Order: sequence, then structure tokens, then C-alpha cells
Amino acid sequence: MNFPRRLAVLGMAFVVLFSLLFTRLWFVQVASGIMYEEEASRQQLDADRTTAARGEIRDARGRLLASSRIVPEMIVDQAAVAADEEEALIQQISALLDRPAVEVRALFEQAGPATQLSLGMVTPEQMAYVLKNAADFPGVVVQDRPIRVYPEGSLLSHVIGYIGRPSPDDVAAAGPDLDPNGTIGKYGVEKFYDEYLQGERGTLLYRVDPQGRPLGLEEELPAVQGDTVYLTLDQGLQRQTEFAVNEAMILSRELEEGNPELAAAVVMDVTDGSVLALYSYPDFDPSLFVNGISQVEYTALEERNVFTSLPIQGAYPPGSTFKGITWAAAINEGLYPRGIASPSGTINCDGELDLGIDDNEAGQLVFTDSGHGATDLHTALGESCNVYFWQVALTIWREYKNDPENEDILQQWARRLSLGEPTGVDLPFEKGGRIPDRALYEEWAASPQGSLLLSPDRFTEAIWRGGDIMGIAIGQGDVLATPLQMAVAYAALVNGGTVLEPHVVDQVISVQGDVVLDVGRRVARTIEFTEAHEQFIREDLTRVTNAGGTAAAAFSVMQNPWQTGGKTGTAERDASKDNTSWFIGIAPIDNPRYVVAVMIVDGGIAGRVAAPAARNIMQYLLPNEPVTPVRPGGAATPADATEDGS
Amino acid sequence: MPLVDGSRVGAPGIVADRKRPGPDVTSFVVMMALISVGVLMIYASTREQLELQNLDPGRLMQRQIIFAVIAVGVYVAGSLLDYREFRNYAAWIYLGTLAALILLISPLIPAQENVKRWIDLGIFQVQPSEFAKITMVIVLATVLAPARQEGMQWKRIVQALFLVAIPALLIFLQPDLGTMLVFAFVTFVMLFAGGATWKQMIALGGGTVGAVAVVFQRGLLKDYQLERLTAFYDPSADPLGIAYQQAQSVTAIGSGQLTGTGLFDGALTNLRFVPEQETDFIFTAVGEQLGFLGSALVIAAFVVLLWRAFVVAAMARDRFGSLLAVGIGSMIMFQVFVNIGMTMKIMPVTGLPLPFLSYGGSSLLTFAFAMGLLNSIWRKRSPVPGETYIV
Repeated sequence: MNFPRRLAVLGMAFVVLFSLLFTRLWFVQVASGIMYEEEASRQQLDADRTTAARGEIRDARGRLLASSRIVPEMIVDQAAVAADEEEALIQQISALLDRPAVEVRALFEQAGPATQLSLGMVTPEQMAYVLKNAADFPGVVVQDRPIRVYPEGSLLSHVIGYIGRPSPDDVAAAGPDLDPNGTIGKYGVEKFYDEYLQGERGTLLYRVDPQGRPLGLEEELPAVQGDTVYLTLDQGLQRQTEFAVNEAMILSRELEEGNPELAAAVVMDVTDGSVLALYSYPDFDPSLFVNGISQVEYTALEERNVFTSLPIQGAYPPGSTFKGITWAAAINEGLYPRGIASPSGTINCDGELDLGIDDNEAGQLVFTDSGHGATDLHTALGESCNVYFWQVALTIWREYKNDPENEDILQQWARRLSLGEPTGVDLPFEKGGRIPDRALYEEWAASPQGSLLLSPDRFTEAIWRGGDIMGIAIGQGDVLATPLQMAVAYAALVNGGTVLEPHVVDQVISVQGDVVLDVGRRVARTIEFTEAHEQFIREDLTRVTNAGGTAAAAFSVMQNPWQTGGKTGTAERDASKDNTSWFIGIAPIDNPRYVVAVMIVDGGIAGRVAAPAARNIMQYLLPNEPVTPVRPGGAATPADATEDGS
Repeated sequence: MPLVDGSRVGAPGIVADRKRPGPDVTSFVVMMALISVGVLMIYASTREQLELQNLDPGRLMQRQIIFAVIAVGVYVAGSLLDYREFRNYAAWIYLGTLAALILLISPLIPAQENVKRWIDLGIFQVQPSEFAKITMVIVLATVLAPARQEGMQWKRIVQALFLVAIPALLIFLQPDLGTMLVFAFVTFVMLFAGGATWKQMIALGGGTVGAVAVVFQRGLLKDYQLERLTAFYDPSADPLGIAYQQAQSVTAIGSGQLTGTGLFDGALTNLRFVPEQETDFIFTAVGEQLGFLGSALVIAAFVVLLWRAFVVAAMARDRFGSLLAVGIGSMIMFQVFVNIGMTMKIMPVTGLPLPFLSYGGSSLLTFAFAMGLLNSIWRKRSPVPGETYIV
């Protein structure tokens, strides 16, 4: 090979190499240039998210229940603190905030390096000092931070709920729009409507140098405050409800009826399901959670059942209040005691009911109650006659025991009226109570705890028997219901058969004033009642609160007790405990508008404890009725009641 | 002057046309254009940073302009020297270079950031390994040129390899892997151009691969040496690592897209998102600001220089001149390919500057002198094609 040819070979090789460069250059700059340009822009920008103020919560009249206030908060950006500066900084902070250096150091260590650490709120003086002596506080910034304010303290606490730091699960679920150092609703409306209350975080876009140091603000997308949630509840009515329940608890002790430590009340509009008052005792002040609550404090509160919202979570035997449901089953299905064909047919109640082996399949049983004499369906409800409703249960047993489809006809009525499953209220953690039937007992029998849940004879003899229906008919046995469920059921009984999904929120309105969400009337299902039902339901409920009725004494103080109706319930929970005192009231009864459910756990006789409280609330609701005290000698209204209450 | 191979010696008019051939204007213009682009790019990539340090933003650019003026002088000097004289002084040049390289790794010269690459002369620093490249080309051309008459025996090859190995090893000890690779590449190319057979080339290639394999397999290199082999020469100035540097480099070039961001409007260049930008990564400044069109033009300029080197090699009046031209051309070619390839992530980061563009006097002066030599060979060519000097 001569020299020119060798040059040619080398030249060819070099041409190949340079072609490679040109190709790669084309690929990098032209074919994928846009991608690299985006990467270049990304590197030059750094985003800081700003926290949005949480939306307000207001009552039905627009009165403020929860708001956000902007306070200066001291933040340490640990990434900006050199290792050798840290100790000096801790000393400075310790001196400024008057907190032990050990505590501040612990905060630093807890937060870990390269994270932003909040030292909590600072006073304007402290803020000014930091700004003036910026050199002594490397990495320290004072940021405006919205904090939650609850101007009414513990009022409505179980509806409002509380907020807290998001859990890792919350952060994972919400994605980048949730500030991991921010807050999230943990309970109540704060939780259920968190997506509306949260607001939208803002973004500050900075141009940065290669070391990430900010060079200037590029763009600012301001944070958008969360929407305002308007409750259906009314502050004035709530105060009256809370007062009435607390008075009833005192009354229970005064009368030595019981020693109640738990109580609940709910007031609902029977026409649209708006919850107008919802009270659970004991309650709490949501402000406790604003700056975080210690585990010890939280546990102490939890042990007192402070975080159980009894109106929606307190599932207890409803006792005789369940008779309203049995009444409806009887009159709508024509299920009357043996030998009777109409609601007006009477039995003779001598306070005893003997059952032969044929009727119960579990041997001879004697049920006892006070005697009511000649009793028909109407007086049975008014006087709360167990014997009559037991007889109704026996009729069901006799007629349907060989009909698996309909042996639970009473339970079907209960379920239709919202018992046995959550009502669908717009609050978290609602419980559904329990309506027992053969399937439930079979399930229990098959479960590992079967022998604890059921008596031994259930396993050897019949698992489901007539006596069980008798128990259900008077709201005992294994029946459990929450006050809200009872309120929804009674609302349906008197409103023509509309089973409503209750709601505590009326509307959600954005800061611009647009209606973001209108909860409105929500119907779970409707029930076709018979003419007899419509004819007698209001009349029979009125019997309870008037002469001869179980709550007559409590309502006799009213100018016109005839405009009220309701049902008492004195439920046995456990032989060792006092009775649970229930009252479900309807007002005004001729044109039903409100249902009031009161439940005093360990309260005692319903007519003496729960009924006066319900009456007091109903008096407050009825425009032409003066409010009278729950307990003799007590006040009629709370001391801090506002004039615009009713 | 006696002539051989001149088939048309007796042709009428030839003697009358014989006048001193002119210089290679094309390569000079292209070289000056590349140096000018380099000066602009150095300014673009250093001004904001210098300003931030309250220094004259044109500081580095001005130094490079001074180097450029000296470079023109060096070019002219190289052009005016008769390249053939270098054959006579090759031994002295070689020994002088070795002395400088030994001095560099001796304890007399303090290390700068773990490497010994510069001799500080007060007002500026000299990088002897840059000049050693020219020495190597001259020595190889001297040793290999007689092969034209005598053929390329193994004895000559071994002699050439031995002579290259000593400075290469000294440079490796600095350590400066990039320059050592230039030595290896140029040696291979010059051996091939000088007349080595395919068999010899394959044997040499196989031997090299084998030797490298043994070095790695036996773990003859310590970890830090491996790191130095692979890592950029100055890890302390690049705390974020080479992968980051190369990623930044590709991003900067890519973001230039077709037409670039415009001169002095490169955001990444202005804010120094690419470490070492004014030296080894100067091509990223071209890529971002001038885009594909400008970058391709710069590479095309190097192709023109390479083409000129090959024309000079073909037209040289003797084998020594031809081999010098091939050596100079392949040296430029290799550094351009490795450097630009490195900025576009198709070659590893080795720390070789981009000829004529990168900031730094030693490199600029070396390449200017090489271009001057090329011009000298061109000027000594015969106006009659094929006419050659004997010996």
C-alpha cells in the first residue's frame, strides 16, 4: 500500500468519526433538543409551595365556627445551616424563645438534616429581633402561617371535628397538593369536607443558580383559601340542646335515677334531613389540636370517650322508642295480637304473658310488665305497653315461622326505616347499629366467640325463636341503634314515608361566592304507608306526651302539649347498669317539622329524664311555647343564650 | 537540486514557473476563526461569575486574547522555520521535553489539587505535556521517515514505541490520562501512515489491548489510580461528580436546539450550570448559544483543518514532512473527537481541551505552533507535483 492510499484509509476513518459527531450533535440538539431545554428550565427554577388558609365553617345563619388566622411562624431551613453554625443557632433560638437548649436541639435532631423545621408561633417582637439580627439566625425565616381558630370553643365540637398533621397515608393519598407539614381534617366536618376546606396551595417559582440559591422570583401563584362550609346546624339551637342535655344529666342524679356520664341529642328537620343540632357529651375544644396535642393528653381525653360522637356512633338498645317501628309494622302489615283484626281491637293487659312450648320452642316463659288493662294499638304506644307489642311479635312468629322470606318482617321494617345500617350522614366514622335476625345468630354461632355471644341452649335447641322477635319488638335483646338512626326513622314515620339521609352541611361556597356544593335534601328511600298509618301515627305519638302517656308529666308544663308527640324509651342495657333514657320527640305534631332525639346513657326512666330535656328543646323550637326548665329550680335556657336563638 | 521521480522534469516552462509557493491561507483563516469563537465563548461563560466576585468580567477573555496574539507569533515562527531542521534537533528537543516532564513530577514542583501538571512561571503557568505532544510527533516522524526506503521493520517500530513510552509514562504519572491517550492514538496513526503492514498494526493493537487487560486484571492499578484514570483530573473542583458534569453538559448543548439561545443569552452558560465550562467543556457554550447550526459550523471548521493537514501530507516534499502533517492532523482530530464526544456523552471524561477554543495558553500555543509547522511543510512543497527531496 503506497502512502497516498494510506492517507486515504486514514481520511476515511476520520470521516467516519466526524460523521458520528455530527449525528450525535443532531440527535442532542435537534431531535431531542426540546427535552433538554425543558430539563434546562427545570434546573433553573425552584418552586416553594405556600400554604393556603383553611376554609371557614359557619352555622346555618352564617355565624363563624371555625376560621383561619395568619400568624408569624418561625421556620429553620436546616439545609441552609452549616454544621458548625448549628450549635450557635440553637443557643440563639433557645434564648429568643425562652426554651431550654436541650429541647430546641431535640427538635433539630428529630427533624433531621435538610428539612424545614417549625419552631412554632413567634411574637412580633421576636420576629423583629430575628429580622434585625439575621446574621445570628442562619437559615431562619419567619413565615406567615394560617392557624385554625374556633371562636365558639367546645360548642358543636363533634360536628366541627378537629385537624392534625397529615399521616404518611394521608400524604400518599393526597399527593403533592397536600403540605406534609400542614394540616388535614381528622374528625367531623373538618375531615369529611377536607377537600373543600383545604384550599389550594400557592407556588413561588424562583430562578436559582446551580447550587440552588435563589436569584429572583419568577412567578407567584397565590394560595387560594379553602371554601366556606355552611352547616345546617344553628348555634342557638345547639346551645339550647347542649344545655337541655346537661340539665337532664343533673336531673338524673338529683332524682337518683342514674349517674350518667354519656349523653347525646340530635335535632333534625323531618322534611329535608338537615341536622339542626347535634350534641355529644362529653365534648372537647377543637383548639386543643391546633398546635398539636400530646399523646398523653389525647389518651386521657379518649379514655373519657370524648372523641365518640354518640349521636352517630353511640349504638345502644333503643328500648321502647323502637315500639314506633313495631307500631308501623303492625298497622301497615295488619299484625295484631291473636284474635284482633284492627288497631282498635283491645287485649287485656294484666302485666303478664305466659308462653307455652309451642310459641317459644324454649320452654315455659313468663314475661312481666305493669298492667295496662284494656289496650289497643293506640294506647299501647301511648302507655308503652310491652304486652301488646309482645303479642304483635308472637303473631309474627306464628304466622311466619315457616316462611324464611318473611320471618324477619319486623326487622325488614326496621331496616326500611334506616336502622341496622349507617344513615349516610356527612360525618366520618358513623356506626350502623344492629338489627338481629336468624342469619346474625348463625353467623355468631359460627364465629370463634360464638359461645360468648350466645347462650348454650341456642346451640342445642333452636338458634332463633319467637322470644327474640318479642325482644326486638320492644327495642331490647340485641337491637342497637344510634340517636340519629332513631331520628331518621321517626322522621320517616311522620313525614309520609320518606327515609332521609341526614346532613350537617347545607352548602359549600368558594371565596368568590360560587356555590361549590349544595348538599340539599337526600332521600335514601320512600315507604308507602297504609291509610291507617297516616291516620293514626301523629295521634298515637301525641298520646305519649299527653294525659295517660308515658311522658305526660314531663310535657304537662307546656301550654299546649298537644302540638307535640314522641316516644319514651327506658332501655335495659345490663342488669348492673342504670337504664338508658331515651326520648324521640316530634314537633309540631300536626304538621311535623322537627324530630328531637335525646339519649342519656345510664340516665334512668325516660319520662323523668330524657323527656324533660326533649321537651325543653321542643319548647325552644315551637314559636308559641315559652321555654321551661328541664329540672325544677333550674334555668330554662343557657346563661349565654343569644336573643336571636329561636 | 537533483530531482527524482519527476516524470515531467524536462517539460518546457516548468523552470520558469518555479517560484516560492505561498502560505496556506485557508488553514490560517480557519484557525483564527476558531480562536475568535473560543475567545467569545470564554467571555460568555466567565463574565457573570467574575462580576459576582467583583472582578473584571473580561479578565479571562483578555488573558486568552494575549495568548492568541502570542499564538499568532508562534504560528508565524513555525511557518518561517524550515521544518526539516527539526530532524537535526529532534534528539535535543526530546531530551529537553523529558527533562521538563521529570522536573514536573519531581518534588521540586508542588502539586496543585493533587495533580502535577503545571510549572508556575509567575505570570503564567506552563503545561509541558501540551508541548510534549509536538515533540512526540517530531520524534516519531524522524524515526519513521527512513522506513520509506528501508521498509517498516519491527526494530524501527520498537524503537519508536520505546521513545514514545518514556514521556507517555511520565505524563501518566502526573496523572494526565487524556494526553497519554493522544500519544497512543497519534503513534498508531503515524505507524500506519509510515508504512506498517496490516499484520504489524493488528499485532500492535492486540498487544495494547492485552497489556491494558493485564493491568486491570492483575489489579496493578490502585483504586485511586483507577479513579484518576476514570475521574476527571480535578475532583475537588467538581464535587457533584462526573456523571453530573456530563449530564449538565448534554443538557446545555441540547437546550441550544437548532439555532441556539443567542450569544450571551445562554442561561446555563451565564450561570455556570456546566462545571469547567471555559476549559474542557467550552463546546457546551457553543452548543447552547449558537445551537446546532453554530456547533456544526465549528466542527466543520475542524474538518477543514483536517483536510488541509491531509493535503499538506500528500503534497509534502519528503516523508518526514508527510508524517509530521499526519501526526499534527491526527493529534487535532483525536482531541476534537474526544473532547466534543465527551461533552455529548459519547466519550468518557478525560480532561482534554478543545483545540483553539478552550481557555489555556499552553494548549493554544502548542496547536498554533503545530499549524505553523504544517504551513512550513506546505510552503516547502514543490510547485511540481510529485517532486520530492531526497532523504
